[in-house]
Amino acid sequence: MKKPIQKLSYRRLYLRHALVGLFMAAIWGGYYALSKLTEGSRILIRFLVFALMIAAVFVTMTVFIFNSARRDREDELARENIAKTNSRFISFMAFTGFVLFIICTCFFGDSQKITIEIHYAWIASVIYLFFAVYYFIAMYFEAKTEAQCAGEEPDDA
Amino acid sequence: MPELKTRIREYRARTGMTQGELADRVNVRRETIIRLEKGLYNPSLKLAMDIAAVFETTVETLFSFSDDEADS
Repeated sequence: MKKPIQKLSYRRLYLRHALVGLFMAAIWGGYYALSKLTEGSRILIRFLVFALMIAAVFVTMTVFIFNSARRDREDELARENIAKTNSRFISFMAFTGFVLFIICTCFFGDSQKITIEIHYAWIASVIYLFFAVYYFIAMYFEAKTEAQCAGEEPDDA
Repeated sequence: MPELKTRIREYRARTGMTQGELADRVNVRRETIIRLEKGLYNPSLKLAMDIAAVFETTVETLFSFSDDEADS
């Protein structure tokens, strides 16, 4: 006999993931900003970031593992929403790249050089930001699904 | 565009089954059943057959498109 599926709001699940992404992005962004501002206390800042990262990774892994166990992977509607999310996220990435390209070409002419400092902290921050964006998009689709199902009684037979 | 019509709600009422119970039986979540009943979602053949099996009927009995009714 199959184990009954536990109820889980995907909207809440995706919101948690998105918030974790924002939290991680903020940590790395903060690390980058602080390391630029306070040259003298880098060891302390690095230790704080290290502690926060360990805490965040622990929380993230715990949330992901527990929620993954509760997710209904066979549900078609969830798979359809994931497909929509993937499609929208790819469009978002392409649009972002296009906008950055236009900004670069408009504000920095052909004759000028663009110097970009690639720092691992802000790269990490951007990656987590995209992670958060992905889950916010997923949350949007799940919120729409939940809205369409609103008004139905739980024990409607 | 033909509209999907289902008789899931009717069959559920006959058997006294809740949306949640049906969802558990066919391994989907309740929202999927709700959207199916409202005709907002086209199920896969597997899901359609699973639901038909729960009610011991055929897929054709449970699901139809609005154009089919106009033709017949």
